[in-house]
Amino acid sequence: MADKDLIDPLGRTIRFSDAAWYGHAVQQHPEVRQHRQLAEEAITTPKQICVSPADPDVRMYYGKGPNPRLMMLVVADVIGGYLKTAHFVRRTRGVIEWSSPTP
Amino acid sequence: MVITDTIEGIVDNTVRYHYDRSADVLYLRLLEHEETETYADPNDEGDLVLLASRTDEPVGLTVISWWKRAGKGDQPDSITEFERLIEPWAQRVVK
Repeated sequence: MADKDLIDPLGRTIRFSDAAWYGHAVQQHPEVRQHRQLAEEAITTPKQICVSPADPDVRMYYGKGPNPRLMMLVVADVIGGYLKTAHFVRRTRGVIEWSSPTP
Repeated sequence: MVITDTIEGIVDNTVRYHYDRSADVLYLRLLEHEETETYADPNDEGDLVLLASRTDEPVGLTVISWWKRAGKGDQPDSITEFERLIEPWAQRVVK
């Protein structure tokens, strides 16, 4: 797959690059290998976006996971506009910046 | 032009580290758990603690914006210096 520019709900562009996904995130967290689409959707249609306690330029995008127990977490730098890493999580953490509207 | 995107190594024959220079993410994993299926638990510092899926035992740590938080100035251009800075973070995984 090619690099993609994804737009989050707040209008920010995140470059989802093959290098970042396959070269680092998948290599170190192989559990997410088959779930690139979930990772991309975590950016474009997340359940929640939190500010990372590690870095004010970084956001934690929580999206739908592969099963009810897990969510997809994508970590991205919203100032630089790039993917940092991704993994599955069982809970969210961080100050909430945005939540998907309840239906 | 040469670009070094990744630096990898082993600390004390116990922990493997993988540093993504472009994204500034440091990945640490206990060698004995390199093949263990994990999930992540974000901690108060914003890092991802890797937990074994079956036992919930901590087996690794993914450090977000490692150099931005732990370093000063430009990234070290000495391997020795880099190793010295990595070591205390690897110890967090062993504990």
